[in-house]
Amino acid sequence: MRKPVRITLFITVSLVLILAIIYSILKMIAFQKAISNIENYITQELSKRKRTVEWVNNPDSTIKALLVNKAYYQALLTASKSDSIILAISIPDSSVSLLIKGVVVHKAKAEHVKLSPLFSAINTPILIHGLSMPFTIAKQTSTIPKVPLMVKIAPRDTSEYTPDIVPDTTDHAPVNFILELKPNILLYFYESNPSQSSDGFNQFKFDLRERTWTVAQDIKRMVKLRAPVYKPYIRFRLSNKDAKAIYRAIPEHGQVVLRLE
Amino acid sequence: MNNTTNSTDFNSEINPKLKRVGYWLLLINIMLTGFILLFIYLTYLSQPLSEAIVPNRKLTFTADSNSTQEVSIKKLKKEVSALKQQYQNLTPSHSYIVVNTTYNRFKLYKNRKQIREGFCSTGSYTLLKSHDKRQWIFHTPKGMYRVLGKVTKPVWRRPDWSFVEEGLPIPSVNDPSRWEAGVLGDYALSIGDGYLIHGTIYKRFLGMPVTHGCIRMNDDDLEAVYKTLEIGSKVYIY
Repeated sequence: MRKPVRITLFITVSLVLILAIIYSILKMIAFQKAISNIENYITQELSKRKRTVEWVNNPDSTIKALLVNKAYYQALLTASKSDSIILAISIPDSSVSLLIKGVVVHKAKAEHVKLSPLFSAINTPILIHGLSMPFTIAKQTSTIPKVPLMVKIAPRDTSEYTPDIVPDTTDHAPVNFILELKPNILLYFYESNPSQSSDGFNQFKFDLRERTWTVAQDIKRMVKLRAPVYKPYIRFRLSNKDAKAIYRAIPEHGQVVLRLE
Repeated sequence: MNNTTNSTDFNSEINPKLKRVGYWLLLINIMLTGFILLFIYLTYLSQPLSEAIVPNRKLTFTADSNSTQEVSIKKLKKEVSALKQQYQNLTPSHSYIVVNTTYNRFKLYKNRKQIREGFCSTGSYTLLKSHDKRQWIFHTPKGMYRVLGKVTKPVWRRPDWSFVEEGLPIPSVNDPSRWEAGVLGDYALSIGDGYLIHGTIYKRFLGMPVTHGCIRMNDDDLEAVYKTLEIGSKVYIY
């Protein structure tokens, strides 16, 4: 091998390794930092809402289950005070439901659920109490439009008038969407068993775009000598129909109730 | 002999250039491969690695000790059952209807049990723009509504957009051309802001988003809904 090739190979490998190691170390730090960030957010929210914190030392499974149930119902009742449609997620039974004023209007079963390990690292009492309040959606990203708006210009007179075209209900668009909750919790809803190979490719493209965006944001922060951000996530696989109905129904800054255990 | 000399000359003239290009391509290739591997690592592998070390911090309560209080199982059970009851009470015990505007379906409930389901038509999400800069969006509003009124043999009072949409001049408010009988079916239930649950003459469009915001149903379903829902019954639209 000639010398310049060896030098290029050496520089490239070193650069790649150094960048990968630095990024990994900072991402590990970000993971640890995210735990305390979420705990602080929950504590602040609790004090803002003047909620008393109840806990027993070394609770057995019965007490823990009761505390989890209590938190879940408290969150549902708080969220149902608002007029908007809310999303209730229950991890134990893998269900994703839409509620209006406390009434379940749509219930979907997730075929696959994956939770970020960060949730198991958060101080349990704080997490349970954190889940007694609904979360607010900060941002939504999707492969389909929120509102399928069609613009129609009115005819000038009856000669220009044409009756409405019947909508194409066979139209099949792949549905994948991401909800970002305050404080930096990501909910990924991906279509399960994409019916066409192009849907699978669309899902891959959507996922890759999201991951690339996250890495780009992290690198931007690193350039400014700030640590990257770790966002805890929950990944769901839903049927196309459920995903579409849920995404179209959730308001832009709607509320989400989570039950993790 | 001549041929051999020519080809040797050609090689000695072209080869260094080709070699240089090949050389540069090799260097670029090495760098590109490196960065592609780095990209794959950053996008797909770095996250699971960062999650590898999960601190075991469970059950170490760090909240303000003043706000901490011991709770008994009995007290907790009582509280949970009260909250559950309060939550369950949010579902109406009498009749209500749920309308899915994405798939244009409805479900009718009575005594907390589903008694009927079927197709309906909801708003088309068309934005109609008139030439005098007025515009209307034909969507069915989402949320909780109540049945505010019930009528039989409803007569439709055509709003301005129905004339604009057909390129007709807008008549005066009380013009007889605004009144049309028979197009809304046998029954209509008002849910406020001019939105109705009514019948249709365009039954082939049921299950499709084609309306101007109202909820259209076929005759049998409409009759069942009319007879089941009372004034004040809740209408959940999502």
